[in-house]
Amino acid sequence: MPTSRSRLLVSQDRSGPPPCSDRALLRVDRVQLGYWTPRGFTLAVGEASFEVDARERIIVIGPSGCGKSTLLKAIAGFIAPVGGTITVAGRETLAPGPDRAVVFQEFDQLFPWRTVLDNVAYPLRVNGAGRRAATTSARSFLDLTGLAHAADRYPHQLSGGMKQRVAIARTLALEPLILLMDEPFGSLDAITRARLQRELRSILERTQTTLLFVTHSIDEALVLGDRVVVLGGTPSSVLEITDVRDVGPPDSPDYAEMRIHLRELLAIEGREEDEGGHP
Amino acid sequence: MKRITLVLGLAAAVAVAVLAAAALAAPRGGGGPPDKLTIAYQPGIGYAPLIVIKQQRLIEKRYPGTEVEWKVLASGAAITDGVIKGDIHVGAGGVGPMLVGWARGVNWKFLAPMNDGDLWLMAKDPNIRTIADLQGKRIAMPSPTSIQAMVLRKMAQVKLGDARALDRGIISMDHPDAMQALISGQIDAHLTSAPFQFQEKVRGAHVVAKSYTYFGAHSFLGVMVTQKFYDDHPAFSKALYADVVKAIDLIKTKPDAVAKILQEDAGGFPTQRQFKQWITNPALSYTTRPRGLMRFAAFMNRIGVISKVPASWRELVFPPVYPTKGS
Amino acid sequence: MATRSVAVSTRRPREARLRWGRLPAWLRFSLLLAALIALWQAYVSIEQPDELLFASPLAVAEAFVDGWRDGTLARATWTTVQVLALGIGIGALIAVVLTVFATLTKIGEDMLSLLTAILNPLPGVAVLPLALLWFGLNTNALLFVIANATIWPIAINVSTGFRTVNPTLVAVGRNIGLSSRRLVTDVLVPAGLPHAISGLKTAWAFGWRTVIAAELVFGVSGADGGLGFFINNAKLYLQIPQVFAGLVMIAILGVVFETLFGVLERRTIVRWGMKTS
Repeated sequence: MPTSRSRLLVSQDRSGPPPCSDRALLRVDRVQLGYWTPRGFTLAVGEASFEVDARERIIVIGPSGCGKSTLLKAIAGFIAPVGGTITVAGRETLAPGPDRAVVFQEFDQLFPWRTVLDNVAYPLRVNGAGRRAATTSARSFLDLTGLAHAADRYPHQLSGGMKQRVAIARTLALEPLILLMDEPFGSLDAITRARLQRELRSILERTQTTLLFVTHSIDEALVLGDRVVVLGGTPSSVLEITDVRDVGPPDSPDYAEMRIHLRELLAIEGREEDEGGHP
Repeated sequence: MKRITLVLGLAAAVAVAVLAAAALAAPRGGGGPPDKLTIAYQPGIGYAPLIVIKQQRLIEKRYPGTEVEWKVLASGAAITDGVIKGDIHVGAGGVGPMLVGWARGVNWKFLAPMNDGDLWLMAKDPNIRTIADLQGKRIAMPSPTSIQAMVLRKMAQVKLGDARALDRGIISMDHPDAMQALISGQIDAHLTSAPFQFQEKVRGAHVVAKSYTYFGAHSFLGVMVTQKFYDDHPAFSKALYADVVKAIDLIKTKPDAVAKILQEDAGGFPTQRQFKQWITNPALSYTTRPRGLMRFAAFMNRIGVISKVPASWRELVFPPVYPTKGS
Repeated sequence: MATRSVAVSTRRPREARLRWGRLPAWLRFSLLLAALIALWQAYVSIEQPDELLFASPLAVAEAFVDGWRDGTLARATWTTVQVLALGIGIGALIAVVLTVFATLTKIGEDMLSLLTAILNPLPGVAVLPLALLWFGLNTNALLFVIANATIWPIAINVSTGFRTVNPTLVAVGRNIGLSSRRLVTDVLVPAGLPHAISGLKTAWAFGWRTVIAAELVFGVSGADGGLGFFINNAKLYLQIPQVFAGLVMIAILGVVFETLFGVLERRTIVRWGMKTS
C-alpha cells in the first residue's frame, strides 16, 4: 500500500474519464435495508443497486428519511442488509473497519480526552503503525487540512468547522479503501460549509481517495461529486444515477440545468431542498 | 441602606443571638430542697443502697414537693457528662471517673461512699491464666477512665512493667453487654464487678486477677454531688447521707428483705436467693467509710491520668463522711 | 410649565465601590476566618463558659500543636485515613464488579438498581452494630461499614457513565477497528471518567463521615484508634481543647481532600472540557 507521502505526490491532473472497471471497488447489489418496530418490520430501502469505482466521488442524495444514512451505515458495516449484498474490494461489509473510514455529522466524534494530534495518530497506532510513524503521518494530514497550528489543542477548544477538519484528517490518515461521509457539514453555518466543501474537493483531488458522500443538499452534490445517486420513494430505491462531472462552475448554464433536474427528481417526494441545504 | 451597614448589622445580630442563647442555657440555683432532682447510677448490685432508697421512696416521702427522676446510665463517664451539664444532680459511680472529673475541675466530692469492692478480671479462654496472657487481647470495661481501667493499668504495671501495655485492648462496654460478649466469645476478658463477676464465674469463666491483690481493700462506688449542690441544699444532702447509712445497715441486718427489694427492682429475675448470695459475698462490703482513695489518686497521677493529687482524703468527701476516718 | 430635572447619579459605578469583591480570594477567606475566630474568642472571654464544656481558640491551638508534637494526633489521623482508603478501595472494587455485570446484562442492571435502592440509604453507623456482631470487635467491621457507604455511589455513577457514553464515540471506536476489550478501556473508561470522579467524590464524602462516626461509636482503645476515637477519648478524660483540636483536624483533612479532588479534576476532565458539574 502506498505511503501517505507518495499519495500526496500523485498528480493533480485528472483528465479523462475514470477507468472502466469490471472490478468496481464498492458494489451495492439489490440491497434492502429495514428495521423492527413494535408494529412490525419496516423497510427503509426497498432496493438499491449501484457501483463505485476506485478514485470516484459518489454523492448519495435524497430527502430526509429516505434511508441514505442507513445505506451508509450498512456500507460501513454497522448494520446488515436484510436482502442483497454490499461488497468492498470483494469482501462483504459485515463489520465496521478502518478500510471504510467514516466521518459522522456530529462534532463530538473526536475523543475529547486526546489532543488533536493524538486523535489522528491514535487510530494509526491501533492499526499497527509505530509511534513515530503514526505521529509523522498524523502531522502531515493535519497539514493537509490546515490544522498544523492546532495539533496540541483539545477538541473542546476548537470550532465546529475545525473539529470536522480533524475528523477528515483522521479518516484520510487511515488510507481507507473508501471514505464514507454522512452529512459532515450539515451542522455548520453556510460560509464555513462552503469553504469546507471547496477544501475537501481539493484534498481529495490530491489524495485520490474514493468517496461516498451522503447529503440532502443539491449544491453540495454538484460541487463535490463525479456521479450522483438519487434515492427516493417509500420504501426508497435508486431513482437515477447521473454523471455531474462536467457541469462546470455554479454560474454555468449546465450547472443550473442539472440543478433544476435534480430538484425535480427530489420534488417528486414533496420535500424540497434549497441552496443552503435547509428543508 | 449602604452595604457595609447591612453586613455589620447582620454580624451584630448574630453575635447578640449567640450570646443570648448562651445566657439562657446557664442553669439557675436556689435554696432549700431542689424542685427537680435527677439521680443517676449504673448497673450492678454495688448500687444496692441507692436501689433500696429508690424502692422505699425515702426521698419522695420526705420531700413531696420534689420531682425525682431515677436514671441508669452505662458508665461513669456518662454520669460525669451529665453532672457537668447540670442534667444530673446526684451521681453514683466509681472512684475512677470521680477522680478524673475532680482533677479536671469538676467541683464535686463523694457525699456517701457506698462500698468497698473487689474487682475481678474474668476470662473464658482456658489459655488466659495470667496478666501476661492478656497482651494483644480484647478486654472489656465500662470506659478507659473507669476504676476498672485504673485497676487494669496497675496490674499491667506490676506484672508487665508498663502501665499502658494493655491499653490497646480496652473496649468500652457496659457490664451487662460485656458479660454477654465474654460468654459468647466476642471478647477475651472482662474486668468487672459484682454481680457480673459472680454470674460469669457460674457460666464458665475463671478469675485471672483481683483488684484487692494490687490495691488492698479499696472503695468501689459512691454517691457524688457538686460543691454547689451541697452548698445550695445542705439539709437535703445530709439527709441523703443518713439514708445511705440506713440502707447499708438494712443490707447487713436484713439481707433477705433487701434481696427481695433488689429482685423487684430487677423485674423478677435474678431470684431473691441469688441476690442474697451476692450481697453477702465478701468481695463486696457495704460501708460509707472510703478506703484507698489516696492510693488510687497517687497511682493515677503517676501514670498521667490525672494532673493533681489531693492533699488528704478529706478533700474528696463532704463533711458528713469525715467521722468515718477513711483513707 | 414646570421643568423636571433629572437627578444624575454622581456615585461611582457598583463594581468600583465593592472593594471587598476586588480582594484576592485567599485574602477574603483568611479575613473572614480571622473574624470568626475573633468572635469565638470574644464569646469565650465575655461569657466565660465552663472550661469543661467549651474551649477558647487559644486553648484549641495549643492542644492542636501538642497533639502533633507528641504524635497522638498524627497517629490518629493516619489510622483514620488508612482505614478510609482501604474501605474505599474495597468498595470501589466491588462497585466495578457490579458495574461490569450491570453493563453487560440486563439482570445485572436490575440487580444493581435494586441493591442500591435498598442499601444506599442505610447510614453506615446504623449498620455498625450488625457489622460488629458479624466481624467481631475489630477493624473489619469498620471496613465493612465504609465499603457499604462507598459501593453504591461509585457503582451507580460509573454504570451511568458507561451507559451514557456518546454512541458516536463508540461508533468511531468500532470504525477504526478497536476490539471489544480496547473499546472498553480506550473509549468507555475515559468517556465515563467524569461520572466516575463524581462517584468517587460522593463515596469519599460518605465514607469520611461514616468512618469518623463509626470510630466514635466503636471505641477501640489505644494506638489503634483513629480521629473519631481521639475525640471520644479526649472527651472521656474531659480534655475539651483536645476534642476541639480533633474536630479542627477533621475539618482540615476535609479541605485537603477537596483540594486533591480539584487537582485531579483539573488535570483530567477540566482539561478535556468534560466537566459536567
